[in-house]
Parts: sequence; C-alpha cells; structure tokens
Amino acid sequence: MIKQARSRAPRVILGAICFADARPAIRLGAELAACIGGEIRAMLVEDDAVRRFAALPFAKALIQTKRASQPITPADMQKAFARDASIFQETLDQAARRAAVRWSFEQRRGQFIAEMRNAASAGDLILIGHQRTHDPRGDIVLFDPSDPVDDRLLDIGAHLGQALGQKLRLFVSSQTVDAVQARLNLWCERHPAMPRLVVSYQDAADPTAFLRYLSETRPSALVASVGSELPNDIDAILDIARCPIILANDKRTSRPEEV
Amino acid sequence: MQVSNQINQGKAMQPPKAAQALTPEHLRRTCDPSTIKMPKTADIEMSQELIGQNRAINAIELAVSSHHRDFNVFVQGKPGSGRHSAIQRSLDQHAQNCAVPDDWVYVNNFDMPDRPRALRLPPGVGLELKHAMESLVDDLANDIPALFESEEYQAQRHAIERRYTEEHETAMSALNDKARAKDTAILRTPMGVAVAATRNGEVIEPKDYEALPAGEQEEIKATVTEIQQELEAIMADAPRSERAQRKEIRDLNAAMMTSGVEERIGEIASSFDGVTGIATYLEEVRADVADNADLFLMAAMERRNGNFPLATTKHYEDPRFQRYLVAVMVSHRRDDESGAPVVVEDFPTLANLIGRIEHSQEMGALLTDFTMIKPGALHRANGGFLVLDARQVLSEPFAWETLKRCLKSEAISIISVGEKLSLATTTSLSPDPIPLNVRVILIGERLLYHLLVKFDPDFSNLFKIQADFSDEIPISDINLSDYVHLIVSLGQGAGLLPLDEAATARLIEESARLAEDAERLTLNLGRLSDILKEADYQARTLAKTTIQAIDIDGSIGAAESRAGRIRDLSEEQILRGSKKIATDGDAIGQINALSVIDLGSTRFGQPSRITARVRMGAGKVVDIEREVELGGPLHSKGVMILSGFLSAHYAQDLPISLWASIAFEQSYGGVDGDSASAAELFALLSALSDLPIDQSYAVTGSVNQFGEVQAIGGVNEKIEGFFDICAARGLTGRQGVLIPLANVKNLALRDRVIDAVKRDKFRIIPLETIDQGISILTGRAAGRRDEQGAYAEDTVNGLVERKLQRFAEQRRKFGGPSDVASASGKEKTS
Repeated sequence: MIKQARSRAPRVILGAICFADARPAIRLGAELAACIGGEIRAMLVEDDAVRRFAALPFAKALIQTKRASQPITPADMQKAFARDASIFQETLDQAARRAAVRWSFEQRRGQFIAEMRNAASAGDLILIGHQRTHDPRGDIVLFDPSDPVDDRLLDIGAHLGQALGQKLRLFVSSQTVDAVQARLNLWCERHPAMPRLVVSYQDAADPTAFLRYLSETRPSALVASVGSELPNDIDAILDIARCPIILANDKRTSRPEEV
Repeated sequence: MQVSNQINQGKAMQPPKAAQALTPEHLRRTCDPSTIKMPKTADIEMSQELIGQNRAINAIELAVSSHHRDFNVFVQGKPGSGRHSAIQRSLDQHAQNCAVPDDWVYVNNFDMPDRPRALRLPPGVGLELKHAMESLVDDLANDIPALFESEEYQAQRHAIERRYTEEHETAMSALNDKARAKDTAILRTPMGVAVAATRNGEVIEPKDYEALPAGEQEEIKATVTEIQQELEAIMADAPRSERAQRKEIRDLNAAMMTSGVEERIGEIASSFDGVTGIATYLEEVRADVADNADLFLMAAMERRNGNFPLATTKHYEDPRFQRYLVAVMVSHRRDDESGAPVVVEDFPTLANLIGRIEHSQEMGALLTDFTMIKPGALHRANGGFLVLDARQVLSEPFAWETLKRCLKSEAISIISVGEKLSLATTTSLSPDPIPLNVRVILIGERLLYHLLVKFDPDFSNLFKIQADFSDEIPISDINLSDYVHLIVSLGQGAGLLPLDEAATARLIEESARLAEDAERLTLNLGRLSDILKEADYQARTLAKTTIQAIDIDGSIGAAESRAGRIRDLSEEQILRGSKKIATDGDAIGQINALSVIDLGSTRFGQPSRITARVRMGAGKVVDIEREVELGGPLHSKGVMILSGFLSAHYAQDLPISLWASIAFEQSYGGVDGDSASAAELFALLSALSDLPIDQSYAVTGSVNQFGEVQAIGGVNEKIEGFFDICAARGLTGRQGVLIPLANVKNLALRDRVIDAVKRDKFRIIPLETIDQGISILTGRAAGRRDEQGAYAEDTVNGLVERKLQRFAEQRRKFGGPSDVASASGKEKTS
C-alpha cells in the first residue's frame, strides 16, 4: 500500500471518450485505486473534436462489427455517448466492487485531455483509457528520466507489474538505475506474497527509442508523471502507444483541489 | 491289497429267516481289526483321489477338459461327500496344463466417454500398461507446464505475437502519419473509429467546412475517403491477422507438446511393441493430451502453492487425468505356474458375478467414469474355471439369469440392479462387453438339479454335464482297502493322531451304519471327519499317542448325547406315562408302531401307539390322520393299500361292509411315510378278529396289497428307540421288534441292543408277510384257505373273515341306499 501524506483519499481519475477506450482501463483503475488506498472518479468525456466531426456532412465511422464505414449524425453520436456512459458506469461498478474501492462517475463535454487535467487534484492519478486491438500481453512501461525517480511512480509500476503478471520496463536515467533497483527490492520485500517482479531497464535519454518501443510493442500500460518530460504531448503519445496511460499528478503542477 | 474283506469272516453267518429271531451276527456286521493293515505314509499320497466317485470324477474331468462352451457341469451330491475338495483338486491339476489367459482392461473412449473400450492384452501386460500410464501422467503433469514455461517456448511465442502486433501497429502507425500529413486525424468515437479532416491539428468546424469552396470541400472529402478506405483495410485485416496468430500459437503449442509428449508416449509404445491395440490407444492418448494441454497447465497452477512439491505428487490421482488411466479388470502373471484361473465365488451376488460400476458423489450428483468399473468373478475366472454354489446363485436376485445370459452370449456385460429395474437415472456407462470363455462348475443338491432340469429350459443347454457324487460305496476287498487309505488320509490331512487298527475297524462299522446298509460304506467324509476330530480330542485329553476304538465310540456317543435332548424328552414322556406306550401285556386293536424323528443333524426312533376300531359300515377305512390333515400323502397311500388288502384277502364274494378307523394316538404333529402301514393292518386285523396283540412288540414295515411286508428306512433308529424304552422299564425277554426281512441288510445296531439280543432279552424278528407278523403278535396261526377256500375258524384270518361276513349280513338286513349313505365317514364312532 502506498502511503499518502494527505488527508483526503487519493483518486484515480479514469477517463475515456468511448467505452471501447475505457474498458481496458477499468481493471487498471481498480487495481490502482486499491494500491493507493483511494477511490475511482470516472468520466466519459464527450470530446469536442468528436462532436465537431459528427456534425461534418461527410462524417462516417468504421463500425467494427460491420467492417465498413457508415454515415453518422450528431444525434447518432449523442445516443452512442449515452449508451457508452451507461455501460461504462455498469462495468466500473462491478470492477470497483471486486476491488473493494469507492467510485463515482460523470459525463462531461469538452476537450478530453483538458477535462482530465481539470478533474485531477494534487496527488491524483490520471488514467487515460485506450482501446486495444489485441489482447494485452505487453509490459508495464514506466517513463521517468528525472533524478531521482519518483518513488510513487515506481511503486505504482511495481504494483501493476505484480498484479497483472507483466514485466516492468523502466525508461529511466542510467544514473538512477541502482537507486531504482533498491527501491523495487524494498517494494518486493514489503510485499512477499505478491508474484515475482521481472524488471528491465532502458535509457530514457533516447526519446526516439522510447517512442519506437511504444509504437512497435503492445504495452499493457504506460506510467509517467504529469510533470515528466514526455517526448510528445499526451494525445500524440496516446496515438503511438495505443494503451492506457497513467499520469501521476504532481502537487506543483496541479490545480487546487475541487470541492 | 492291504485289507481284505474280513467283515464277519470270523464266524459263518446263516442267512436270516422270516419270522425267526435274528442272531446277534445279523444285527451288525463287524470288522476284524486284525485283518486291517494300516498304510504307510508314502501310500497316503496316492489316496488323494476320492474312492467310489469315479462316475462323478470322470464327469468333472470331461467338463474341465472339453472345449465345448456348453459343457458346464452341475455337481450334485450330499454335503460332506467331498465334492468341493474333489473339484478343487481336479481343477488345480487341469488348470496347470492350461494356458494363462489374457488380461482385460478398460480404457477411456475419447470419442464416447460413456462407452469405455475393452482391451485384450497378453498376460501381465494389463498391469504393466496401468503402471506405464500412471507414470506417463505423472511425467506429463511435470513436463508440460515446464515446457510452456520454458524460455524457448516463451521466446517463440513472444516472437509470433510481436510479429503480428508489429504488422498491425506498423500499418496503423503509418496510417496515422499519413493522416496527419494530409490534415486528417483518426478518431476513436463511441460509434467506432473515424477519419476527420483537421485544420491546425484540430478537427475542422462544420461551419468552416461549409465556408470552403466546393473544390476544396471535394478535395478534403476525397482525402478523408482515401484514409478511411485504408483504415477499413487495416481493420478488416485484423481478424485475419488474429486468426493467423492464434493458429501459429496453436501450432507452436502442438510442436512443443509433440516434442515433450510424443517422445514419452513413444517410449511407452516401444515397450509394448507388437501388442495389438496399445499403439492405437496410445495414439488416441497423444492426440487427446495435445488437445488438452490446458488440463496440465491448470493443474500445475493450482498445485504450485500446495503443500507438496509438484514433482512428488501422484498426479494420476487427480480426477482431471483419470481419462488417461487404465482400469484393470483382470491381470495374470506372465509366468504364472498355476495356469488358468480357478475362482471360487462364495457370495455370488449380481455385482460379485459380473462386476459393477461404482459412483462417486460430487455436489449431490452421482458421477462415474471407466476407472470406477470393478471386475466380478466372471472377469477373474475368464479363460479358466468358476466354482459356484447353486443354491447361492439361485437365491441372489438376478444372479442366475445374468449368469445364464453371460454364458449364452459368451460375453460379460455389466449391468446394475438399478438399471435392470429402471430405478437409476444417474450417469452411467455402457462398457464394451468382454468376451467370455469360462467353465462354470455349479455345486448343489440333487433336488436343485432336478428342479432346474424341469423348470428352466436353458439349464440343460448350458449345463450339459452332471457329476453325481455317490453317497456310499459297496463293501468289497478293494473298496475296503481304499477306505482305510481314505480314513488315514483324512486324519493326516486334519493333523490328527494316527488311528490304530481297532479304531479304524470301528470307524468302518460306523460308516456302514451311516450308510444305513451293512453292505455299504458311507462317503459322507464330513461326518467321518467330525468323528475322527472328536476322537482325536478325546485321545489327546488322555495323553494318548493314537486314536483307539474307545475314542471312536466316545466320539459317536458324545455326539449323540449332545444332540439327544429332544430324544430324551420323548423317552421321558413315555416313561412317565404321559405318552401311552405299553411294552408288555396285550390289547385288541392296539399296536406299537415305530417312527423316526429327523432333526437334521441327528435322528432317533420312537414308538407310537396305533389303534383301530371297527363296526358294520359301507366298506370304508377312515384314516383319522388324513381326515384332520395331519397325514401326508404317503401315509394315506399306505392306509388305502391296506384297504385293498382287506378287500382282496377276505370275503371276496361279499361286499365289504366294514367301517374302520385307524389313528396314531397322541400324535399332534404330521405323520407321513408308509412304514407304519403294516402296524396299522395288524391293529385292524386284531380289531376284526378280536384277538389281542402282544404289546411287547413293536412293528415297522410297509405292506402291499398282497400282504407282503416291504422295506422301510431308519430301521436301526426305530429298533433302538423301542429298545431304549423297554430297557428303561426292564427287559422282559419277550420284547422285540418286527421288521421287514428286506431290512436285515440295513442293520447296524448299537452294542447295547446286540448285547441284549445276545442275552435273549430282546428279539428282532424279520417278516416277509402279514400272516407271519399277525401270528407272532397274536400267538394264533394266521390260517390258510383250505380246499373249499375257507379259513379255519380258530385262525386269525378265519376270525377276520367271519367278522366281515357278519357285517355284510347285518348290512343286508338294513338294506337300502340310505343306509349306505349313512355309513359314510361322517357318522360318529362310538
């Protein structure tokens, strides 16, 4: 359990534009909330870009079950948002019950990433859902080129690696490897009942290698800090990694807590 | 020959004469101990064969040697005749020369699990295959998880997954790049993936799009359509790609299984090389293991955190792996010197005969599989011999019918009582029938044999051989010699003290008594053995080193004493006057008859008083026992015969105008048999002639319509029963028993009777005719018809005929049919 020097329970802000993106992130969100001893705040964001697109005269969507693009209207899209919100909420309820964590859900309109940032307070974890086209079998990827590495990120990465039975791939500065390993060893000592954690290291100094790795493999999740120097903006990273992204919100960059 | 027929050879014996008292020599044939030569131990080995049972032994030999399927044998004879030991010995000898039969096992039918397959295997291979399959399961349970966890497998699998992922991801990545370059973006929406036109990285506003010139709108539309089509192509390819990936992984799994499993199964197959059926079965196992690798992986995952190390667990006990086990129905040692199996099933229930299918209870449901098939006696005896007790088989529900069905179909099909009665609705199995080749030996009583022959049409077809064990053998030089061997071997077999010559002679005499025939010896080895064992006990009690004649006598006496409570009570009733039996004086229409009480383990004789009363009537002799339904059919027959005798013997020119009643006095149980018919006739003649009968006599014997006295059973016990009463009251010298002449050869009386006869205190007089008997009993000549056909007046027959004539005249005076009717059995006697 990650200790938090906070009076309010930390939250996992789980957001997605559609249920297809939310689904792989829901279990992650429940695991994370259990890990940090917090709760899940989930939101389906009716993204402005999607709504604008639906209003275009030639708007079509590739419906997977029909394997062909079909014309869509804003009304169709609105119905689809409502349907996805309902399923999202239902699935979240089941996952949260299993993980014994509290949850809340809301439907918002706006620019997706901005809405997520707005919802997050200091110390919260932002979890951005993304649809997978294949079964998740990839590593948990952790990116933190800072020195020292954020222990909270390491703990989250270690917990997810053990809970999901996946390898933890660390993109960290080569100077921090020893300290990171020591921290992970400490984690494992504190959690002897958990499965063995397999860790591999890559140098975070090469952003191209990092992006290529994300593009060519199928990570189960990407863990980073909101304040970390990711080589691209979140939207672009999301397009490249095509997996859920967990961002640890830093106190210094966060907005004041919402009431 | 070591023993010559020296019975009664010491003294020339005169043949018995009718109506003359027998001499002591007639009362029991004695065996002279000095003529007996005890056999040496080496000779005893030769006497393993039963004597006097050649007919039965030959029949058994034929049955066990014959290859005809229906030459099963029914062995009949009395208990104690040595049937079981003779059969066991014969079967053991014959089985040694027979080939050891094949093993039979059941294995899983992977296509239809409810129909387990039977495999016929050479001797010994059944168990070997069972152990091999258990070992295989144990190995696979360790090897398969290890295979799938190996670096080699993980690397290959990862490479496959990575390749397919890269294909897809590369395509998507390239499309993303292309879309961005052409001012479009790929969006994920609740309705699916879409391609949107962008301006400055943002999805274009509809109003901005509307404001664009038509040409530019068309250009944007074309670009979006192009990207959209490429996206559709990539997405359409995804399922195909996933299928291809799954197939490659399946192939990889199969290749891994092949490398790990095939090698191990190949080892087993090569160890059973040339055994028909095993190669096919192992191929099925290999295919099933390859399809069900998950079973082994799941089991490994579950046990990883168990209490015992994975490698030391008996994995074949895991229910998931029982599909690969072998259920051995029967397995023989390859080098088994006993040859074909000889199975004696003492408790031939349906399940014990044909086997059963057991069930296990799981969550309230009854489940079963082929490993729960249990063999029966027929499985174990298949290829050999099965010995069954006929009464047991017939009394067990469905056992007899099922045994016949198996013999007829030459196959063992397992079925339960529940299924037969349609009571069971739970999961069950229909195992392959196993071909049956067995010789069944049924052991039973003669009555059962005859009932089966009469009432079961299948019986004669299935049991074509009967082996009938004799109850006795005639006394001859050879037989006596063999009999001595038999006695000695019986003692040796039971670990008893050796017998001296006198004891052997005494046992031979007792054997004749048990056979109820002075010219025969019993073959009831059980009874002889009992006498010997008790004699041995008595001898050892007195620290003797041999069994002597006194010990044999002691043994016989003690056995009689133990079983004598009822006999003593019966005697006591007579001696205390509760039951009226006169042993002196005389009386008209009253006589002492003799009967035998058979209590199974013992029997004894007792006298009964028979009375007869006569008067004028319509020619009816009333058997009171029959009227009250206490008389059996044979007794009634005897009474009717004496009616026939009266009708034909007296006043043939007149209608029989007699009404007579005959009763067993103080008889409160049933009476059957005709051995009292002579006594009944004597009582009737006494009543008709008004001549008293000497009550010092008792009579036994049946009579025919010509007045001839015929043989009866239990003559020794009857004589001794009357003798004991007389002796208790004091022997007068007049007392005696009249017996049929034909029964003299059956005499084997106890010493106490013979001693009394020797002292002229008791007489045993044989009869051939009724006339002889009535003369002795009344002291008056019976009388013969003279030339005019009339009896002399002062003879018994004369008096009887006169009385009958008088009755006829009286009846004529009454005249009319109404009187005839009134003379029926319904009128009351005075």
